[in-house]
Amino acid sequence: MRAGCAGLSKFISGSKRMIERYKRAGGVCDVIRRGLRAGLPVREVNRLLQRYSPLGCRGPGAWICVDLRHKTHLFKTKPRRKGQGTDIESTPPELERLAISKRETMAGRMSNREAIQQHCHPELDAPFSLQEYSDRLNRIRDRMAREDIDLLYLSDPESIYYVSGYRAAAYASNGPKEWQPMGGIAVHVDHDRFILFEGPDELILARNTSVARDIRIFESLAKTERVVAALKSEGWLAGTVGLEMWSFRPNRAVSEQFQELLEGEGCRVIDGTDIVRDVRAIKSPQELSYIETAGRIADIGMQAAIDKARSGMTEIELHAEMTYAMAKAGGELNALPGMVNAGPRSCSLGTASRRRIMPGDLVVLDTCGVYNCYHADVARTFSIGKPSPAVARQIELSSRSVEVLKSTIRPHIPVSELNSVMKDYYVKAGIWEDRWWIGGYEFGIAFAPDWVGYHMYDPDYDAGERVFRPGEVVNFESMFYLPDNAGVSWLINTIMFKDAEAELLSEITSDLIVIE
Amino acid sequence: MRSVERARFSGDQTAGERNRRVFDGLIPPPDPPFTLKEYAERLQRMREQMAREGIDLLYLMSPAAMNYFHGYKARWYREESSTKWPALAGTAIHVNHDRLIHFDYPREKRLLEGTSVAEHVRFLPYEGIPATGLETIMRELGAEGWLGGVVGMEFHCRLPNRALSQIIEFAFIHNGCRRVIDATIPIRSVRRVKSPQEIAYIEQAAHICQVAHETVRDVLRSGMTELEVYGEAVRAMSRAGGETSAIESSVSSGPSATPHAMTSRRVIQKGDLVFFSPSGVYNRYHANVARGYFVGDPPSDLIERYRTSAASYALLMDHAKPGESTAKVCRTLKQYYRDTGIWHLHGFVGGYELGIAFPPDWVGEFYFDVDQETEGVFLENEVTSYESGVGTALIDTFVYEANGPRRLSEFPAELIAVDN
Repeated sequence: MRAGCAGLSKFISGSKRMIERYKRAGGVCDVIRRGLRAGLPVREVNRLLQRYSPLGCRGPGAWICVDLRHKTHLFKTKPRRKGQGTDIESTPPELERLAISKRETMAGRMSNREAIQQHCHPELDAPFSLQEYSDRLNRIRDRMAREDIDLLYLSDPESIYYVSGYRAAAYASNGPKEWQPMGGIAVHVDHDRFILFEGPDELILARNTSVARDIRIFESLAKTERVVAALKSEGWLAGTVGLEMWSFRPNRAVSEQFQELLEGEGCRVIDGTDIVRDVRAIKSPQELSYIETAGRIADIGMQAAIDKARSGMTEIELHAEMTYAMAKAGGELNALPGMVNAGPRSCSLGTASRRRIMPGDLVVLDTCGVYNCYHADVARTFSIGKPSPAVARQIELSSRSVEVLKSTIRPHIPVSELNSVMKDYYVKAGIWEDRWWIGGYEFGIAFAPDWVGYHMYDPDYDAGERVFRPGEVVNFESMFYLPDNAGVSWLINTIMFKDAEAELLSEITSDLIVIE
Repeated sequence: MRSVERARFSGDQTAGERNRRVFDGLIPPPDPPFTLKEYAERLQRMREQMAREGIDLLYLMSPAAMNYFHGYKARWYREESSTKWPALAGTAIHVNHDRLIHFDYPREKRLLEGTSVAEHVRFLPYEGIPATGLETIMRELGAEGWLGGVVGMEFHCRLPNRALSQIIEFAFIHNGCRRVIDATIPIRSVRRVKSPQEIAYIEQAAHICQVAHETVRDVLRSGMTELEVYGEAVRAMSRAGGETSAIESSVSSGPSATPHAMTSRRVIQKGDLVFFSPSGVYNRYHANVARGYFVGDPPSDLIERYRTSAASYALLMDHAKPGESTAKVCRTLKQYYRDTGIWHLHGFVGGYELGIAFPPDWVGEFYFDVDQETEGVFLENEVTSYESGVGTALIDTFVYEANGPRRLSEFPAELIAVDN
């Protein structure tokens, strides 16, 4: 081989085996692509092709790489006719796509967006093993098979994250009508891969955060049509399609448009919201570990509030101190705005405000620690100064319920039993009639604007035969109206049900926290 | 104190009767961010729009709409919660009546009393299956004589979800309404032009955003995580009175930095470009300002690119006067970027409406896209962002005054070098 540029030699030495393979398989395209991406001049690539083309050197049917109008094209030569030069056929589309030149980028002839979309492949930042993602997909497909759903289109941020790891700060949930929130994941019951659909601006984020191997990008407009067209070309549009109709995303208008297009292709469309929500209800050991970390982060936030709370500061400032401490500990952002409500605002589900915390105020704080988007909830009640004896007594009665809770919870406990035991305690303590709310709901993955999970329980609701299974995580909320117009006390803990035990995650005292 | 129809709720009869009854009426009256006159004017404009569109009744369920018409704001709207907690809360407006009726759950009673100027509040039975709450809504609206015509709902909003929206639509039809249509655009259109008070709040929000940037400029160093930077910014904004923003104040760094990445535990390193895009929030009004921070000594071509990019602001301010075509302004801007040789670097260049927002999104309905040369008209006293995304993290908020857009933040529109 003639000595060429250093790049050529390196390229050749690294590729001989591959070229031999391609020679046998007839696949020149990868050779050409690698050559171009290595920055080889076109003439060097042509030399390579001539030496290694499976179709012979320089003869009819050989591939030629040519620069035309500042773009590199690949052509297959046709047989030469008498008296004519070599004709050139058009390149097949798949090779046309491969005709990229680094020189295009460096010369500024390619847009920054095109260059990044082609060349930028950041390392994967996924919080679970590929095996775990594969297991999740299989469980979803099993459930789809049981429900006779052929295709499931996931649009809920939690579902998308659960299946692929993809996560974003914004999902176009409420913007202009034209910015259809159609990003999502298609899962087919017969295929062990999924397709992630997203807009071009999220391609790099998708590569960075998701394990998706098949990422389809649609341009800004007409997204529903493009998704349907892509699914059709995959042969995935037959039978029953499930959409997550109880999710806030996409909005009703886009969801109906999507359904209409799917039905136009002969599909039957039903609600498939329950599929991933139910599969997610039981957490893996790794998920439980993340929620435990989230619990520790929540405690750090609550401890910071205990350390910093004082009269004169605003609710927002105290909330920010919790957020700051949790961020420093590696905690991510809460899906629901954390709550600091003081005085009469303690009996409402309001966001932290600019109201100043006053001496004598009761302050209720509710926040989540968040780790890899897994949430763990904690809420406590502070008193700025000593409370009245009646208030202190009521809160103490509420706090003592935590010991009852701890001694009651166990894996496989019927929900009705937990409801009954706790209600009995509050009735005997004489505070049941003062309840604001007693009960709880599922915890796990959450994205804005809500962290409240799908499965809830409440002594006022019939729980039927349901039990708390190992792998489930819920919170337990006990809030009570207080005497002396003091407000409402809040006490929330997160409960984790494991194989052999159940535990409360928070180590922050459940007693009233008096800030002197 | 204004009178609130406390007697009309039918739920929550047993829970906490003793202490709760004592507590009734002890919530201080709301301190609404706008005068009652301004709320009345908003309602009037909405009714006029309804008349033009042939809509008899609106049932508004988006947090932004409820906040706009009567000040109500909550932490939780049940978007993703159990189906046993259906998100039925909403505000009814009738074209022929100068009052609105808000429907909600008893649990939100105190919050309503503390935030909303709505005089007519009806409470639904305690959370349960949608049919129970809908029965109350239909009965109450029927008793008012508000059913029977064309009903408008917000089909392009995230609340209610699709399934619930269809259930609600069915309830309206079943109770004698002629049809239910999408009224998202008429409802959003009423909010597009801002009053002087709204603009004042957005200016305050822009100031809060500036505080965030000044803080980050002072503290950002290599070795910090993105979340630590975020924590510093949030703390500073809260001290300036800023509320929680509708989208997290994104800190994104390094080679994988993208505008929509979630703030992470990544350790910021020397040589990183850090994208920081907070919104200041005041009375739920948002102002967004984004900048790029270079950790270390930035390359001169990057500084120059930011300078060139920022110069587009002057063009926007000169050309995007009220009444001007958005497409024409977009062409002017695009030509500028082409002439300066940076257009090929473009991502999203353009802007969108800013105003009231609740999680998870602050992007408004009106937008202009320089690449698409979108058709439209700039209006006086509207507020938009402008993103000069030509390989640069430059976003600012502008109010469109009679003489042209005015930038609300004074933070320098340039690449910020830190730790150098």
